Amino acid sequence: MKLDFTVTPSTSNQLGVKGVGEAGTIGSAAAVINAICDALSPHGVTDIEMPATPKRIWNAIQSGSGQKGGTA
Amino acid sequence: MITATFDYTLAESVEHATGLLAEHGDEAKLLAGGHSLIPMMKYRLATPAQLIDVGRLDDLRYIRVDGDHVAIGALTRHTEVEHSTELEAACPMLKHVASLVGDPAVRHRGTLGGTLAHADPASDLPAAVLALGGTLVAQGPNGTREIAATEFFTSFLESALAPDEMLTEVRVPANTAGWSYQKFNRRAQDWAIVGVAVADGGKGISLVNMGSTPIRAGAAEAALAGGSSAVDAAAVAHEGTSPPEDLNADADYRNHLARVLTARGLAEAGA
Repeated sequence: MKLDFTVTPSTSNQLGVKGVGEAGTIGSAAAVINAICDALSPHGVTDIEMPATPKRIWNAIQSGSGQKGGTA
Repeated sequence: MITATFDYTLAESVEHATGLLAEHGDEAKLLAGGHSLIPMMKYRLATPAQLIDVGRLDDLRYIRVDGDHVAIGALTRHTEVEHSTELEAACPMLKHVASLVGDPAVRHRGTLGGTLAHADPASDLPAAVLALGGTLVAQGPNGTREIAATEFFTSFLESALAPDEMLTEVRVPANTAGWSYQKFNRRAQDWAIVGVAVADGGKGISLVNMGSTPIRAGAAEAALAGGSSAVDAAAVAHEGTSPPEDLNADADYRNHLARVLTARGLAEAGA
């Protein structure tokens, strides 16, 4: 993961500040799921539905077919 | 949710409580800490017409080391078991398991006798007492009797207690041999999805949430006793069980968890 900064002050207020709100949360779920899929790729798993519960991961490993979400 | 209507009586003694039980029969339930019974009443899974509150029978709140065993009064709260220096020295496994029950609020209200009489296969302490080979003392109108933990849990939420009997004491062997408690869940305060209690260096192994009652892992115990390695014994830990299926786990996954957790538990217990 590479972190970087961008400096583009907002023109809509005197402080130049921007709300970032939930921007950081949007990508994190996809990143975690991608990391799980990467870790399970030797088992032929290509996708895991959220939430990635222990049961779903175990089932996905067992089936080895990478079927979506295993048999949740 | 709101409970169904019920009458309430504060018991002044064990004799008073068992007398009321005899009088009201199936309509009555004993109330101790209330952290299992009251939620069930709110969901109307339990609708006792008569509640008999034994919560103020302080004579039944004690932890006493008595030779080769530890006697614990039925109304001893989980937090008292959790912080007992007597148990730390004589039966550290029980102390540890008590620290994992529910959350602090539950542990400050819930009682050892209550959780055993409730006989929930998903609860921690019944399985611990079962693995330890404990004994339960029941008092009824005709006196007291002892029930082995292996005979106590008869079916889902049912125990060997007669309708007019009250659980008054729990006895566990003073045992500091290798032990372990493996609790698998997704959130700290939850019930175990599967749990494994290992006592007495591996001679006692019991399973949480692997059937309609807390059960001993008989196949694994027999394998160990017959000279198998801990790894081989753990591989049969699920044999003879009928695990429930729910949102957390199906039967296959529970069987898998039982094997893995038994292996970890036996390793930690030095078996």
